[in-house]
Amino acid sequence: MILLQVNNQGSEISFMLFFGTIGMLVLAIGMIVFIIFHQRKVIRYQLKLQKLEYEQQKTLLNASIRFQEEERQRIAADLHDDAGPLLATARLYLTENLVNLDKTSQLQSIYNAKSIIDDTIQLIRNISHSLMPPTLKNFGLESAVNDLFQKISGSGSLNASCRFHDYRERLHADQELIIFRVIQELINNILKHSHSSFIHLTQNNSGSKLYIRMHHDGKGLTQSDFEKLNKSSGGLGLKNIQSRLKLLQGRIFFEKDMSQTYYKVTIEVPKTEEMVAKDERVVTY
Amino acid sequence: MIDNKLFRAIILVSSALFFVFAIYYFLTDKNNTFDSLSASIESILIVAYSIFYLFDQMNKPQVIFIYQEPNFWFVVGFIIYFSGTLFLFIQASNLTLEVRDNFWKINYFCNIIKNILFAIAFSTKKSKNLQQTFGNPFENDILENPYKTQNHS
Repeated sequence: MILLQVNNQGSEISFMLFFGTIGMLVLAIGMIVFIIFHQRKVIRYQLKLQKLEYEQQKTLLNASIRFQEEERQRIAADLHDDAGPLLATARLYLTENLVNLDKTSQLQSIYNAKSIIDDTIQLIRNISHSLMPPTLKNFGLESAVNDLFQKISGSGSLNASCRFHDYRERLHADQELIIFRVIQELINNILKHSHSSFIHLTQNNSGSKLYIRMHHDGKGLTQSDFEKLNKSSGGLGLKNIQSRLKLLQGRIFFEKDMSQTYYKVTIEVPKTEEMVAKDERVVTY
Repeated sequence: MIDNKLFRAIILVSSALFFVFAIYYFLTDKNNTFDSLSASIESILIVAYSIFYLFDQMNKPQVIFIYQEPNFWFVVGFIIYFSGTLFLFIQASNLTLEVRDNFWKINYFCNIIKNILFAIAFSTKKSKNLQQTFGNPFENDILENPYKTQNHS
């Protein structure tokens, strides 16, 4: 009807009015539709990201719980299989009948029992040291890592060396413990899977960050392998490394050396003390 | 509602200026039956404010669909009404009364759409932020709090 009038009158004003109004309405509706669709897309993307992050956290949490359980089982097995029989044998030597035996047999039994108890003490000391190395607490990360590497070298199967370039100031004890656990886990992996002939660890600082790099010449991982294993149901140790580093707000990077003969693992940890104090309640190790 | 401080400042200043201008225009202009100029400026301002609002909402990090908010429907109503009638208001003083009455149907039509959109706005409940979906799925008071102080008189 309006269009008819526009034709009838043919006036420029009516023409402009009619098409101007239609144009404005189309523009307005177009803009609103665009905003709605754009926002929907952004939100879908955000929700997807959130879900992924949530699932990643869940796997990390599961991994750390499972790791803890496995560790407990290992300790239980150590105690049950090693310390238990040793103490039982010692008890056999020290029966009530001992008083009725002659002096040499008595001395022999006591000597045997004593050496078994010594063994047990050593065993328990070893278990406790593997749980919490005393050097780490008393002398710091550098000494603890040195100790660990000396022990590995001492076994003779591979050459392990480490060098701390700049570690004059000790980190917070909790940070040191977490870094040490990560190093331990990485070395375990190298010993277990890589069949390498040497491990070399270097430490350095850059700005407010601490860097630790490990080289080895065996079969290693690259970052893409690490991420793949991290997402799969296996790779418990790697997940544990990831969750420990997350606690420190640190990062880890696996790569192959330029020469293609070595594998490198680099750990980056920010040197802030407040962060650990804040997160202390989360630490459940 | 609008978080951007620049937008807020622009809205406040331009609204104040427009208010002063509209009163001045109303008092001085005695020739016309319809205050075409102030109505056009009003339309442009309100459309601009609505675009500010939508732009602001787009940049907010919240996870909530924009059409689940009542404010969005109010703003859409304003945009449709004022962009639809903008040319009508601009040209209103140039049209004869008879032609204007004819074209005034645009105003009625846009007004109806605006009111429908307002009705949608009033019937829309403000929905919760979708981000909370991953939070605690249980009500906090689902279990009795053992530490609650009991008021036995």
